[in-house]
Order: sequence, then structure tokens, then C-alpha cells
Amino acid sequence: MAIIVASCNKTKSTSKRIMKAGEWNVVELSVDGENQEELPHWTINECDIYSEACVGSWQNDEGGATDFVWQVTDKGGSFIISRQGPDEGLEHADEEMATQCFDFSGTYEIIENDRTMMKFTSTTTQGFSGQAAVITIEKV
Amino acid sequence: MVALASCKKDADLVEVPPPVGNEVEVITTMTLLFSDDAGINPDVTATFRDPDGDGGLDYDIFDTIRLMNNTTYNTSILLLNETVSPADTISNEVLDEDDEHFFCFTPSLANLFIVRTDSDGMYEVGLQSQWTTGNAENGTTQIVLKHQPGVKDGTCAPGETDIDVTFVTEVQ
Repeated sequence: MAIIVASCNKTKSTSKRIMKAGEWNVVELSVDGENQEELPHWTINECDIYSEACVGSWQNDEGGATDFVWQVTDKGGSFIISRQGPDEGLEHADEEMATQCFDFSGTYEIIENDRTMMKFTSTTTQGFSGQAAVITIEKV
Repeated sequence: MVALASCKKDADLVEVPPPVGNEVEVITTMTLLFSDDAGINPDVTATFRDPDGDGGLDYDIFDTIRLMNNTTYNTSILLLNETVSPADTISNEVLDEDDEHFFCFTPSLANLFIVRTDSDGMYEVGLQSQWTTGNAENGTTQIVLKHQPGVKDGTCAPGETDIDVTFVTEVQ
């Protein structure tokens, strides 16, 4: 008899999916249907979701970047983004990413969850409360 | 063979720290301090104040700049954040980061000439300037502070606008 139980919850499996891809292009970053002019790229490192805050990098093509903590929760149904890092003395390109990442920080509902594409939506982001923020990411 | 992985719950997840915003300087108040270079005419001050910064409540002070004709004034700009107590002197921070800041002056008056008289070592800044009036006339003067970290080039084009005020201006 062989009984093997590997993945026992969707929070963990969704988190693994995000980590495994590692590099994601944000192909939609919109508010009430209007896309942002500058779409970032995410780099996600491996982490233990039960023992550390998982950190990603929110980057643009100009070399600007900011860190954010991310977390899958609610049995794989929600995704949290929380911009981290210094709050002043930033170079222009970093400042752009810090502002964008902060504005889109919040708790999102995961509405699509595929190995190569995920889609999140929220109406409670820091910068656009009450408006529909949508993030769609595609595996690089 | 029986292998069971322990099944952790969402309650076992680490707490997510709250998001950290990129601090944006609030400027509520711009005061212009004019001093006659020849020491003849009285000093002049003109203030714009929006007590809660950009948006929200309207301004509560918006002076007209009233200067004497055919006079050269040495001019300083004082910027304050009066949403905090005591007020934060933002112009000190502009001076500390003078290589990232640039004031742009646009008078509509034909005979009012404004030149910046301070420098960050490479480019002018505009916290200090010289205003030279001609004959009596009326118009406006727009003053814009640009924040240009890493992109300052001595022009008004790059960067973000920190404050933009257009004063009614009378040369008497």
C-alpha cells in the first residue's frame, strides 16, 4: 500500500506556483479598466510561506525597482501585495516603482489561477480604494 | 509506504507588514520675500497658502505681488508644510537637495525680468532670485517647483511638479 499526500492546501500550491515561475510580466495593471502607462515586471524568490514574509521585486525597464511582500491566503482565494522599502531619498526610477507598487498594495481576489497566467482584482487598494484595480501576470 | 505531509493552515502564515508609502512632501505655503536691492523701497511679501495642501480645501491666503516700478528686488522663496505642528520648512529640504530641484518663473508682464541667483554647483535652483521691474503694468507670475532627481538639466522640462502657483502681479 502506498499513500502519499503531497500538497494539502491551495494556499501552499498557489504560492508554489508563483514562486516556481519566478519571473512574471505584468500585462495588465488597470484601474476601472484604464491600464497604467508603465507595466512592471515581477521577480519572485523562493521562500517558506509559513516562516518568513515572501518578498518580490517590482521593476520597470528604466532600472527602477522596489520590494514588496506578497502572500496567498484565504485557501488560495486571495493575494496580498504590500510595498516595502525606504520611503524617501529614492532615485527617480525607484520612486516611480515605489509609488506604483504602494498604490496597488492591497488584498486581491484571485480570479484566474493558471501555471502561466494569474489575474487578481481588488477594490481596496491603497491608491484606488473604491475603484476596480486589476493585475494580470504572465510567466516570462 | 505511508507518507503524509503535515497540513498547515492559513492561520499559520506569517503576518504581512503594512505597505510603506513613498513619502510625498506636502507644501501648503509659498511665501515670496522681496527686498529692494537699493534699499529704498519697503520690503514686500506675498503668500499663497492652502492649509491642507493640494486638493481638499481651497486656499485661505493668496496675495497679490505688488512691486514698485523700475526697481530690482532680491527675492527669497520660503516653503512650508503647515499640516504639521510645528510647521516643517520644506525650503530647507529643497536647499539640502538642491541638485534635485529647480524653480521655473513665468511672468506675463512684458517688463518684469526674473533671474535665479543661486546654484547647486552646476545648475541654478531659484530659491534666491532677482526680480527687475520696468514701467507700471499688471499681469501674473507663475512659479513652479520641479522635482528632478537624477534628471536635472537646467530646464523646466524634466521631473515632477512639487508646487505650481500663479500670483497676480502688479507693478505700481
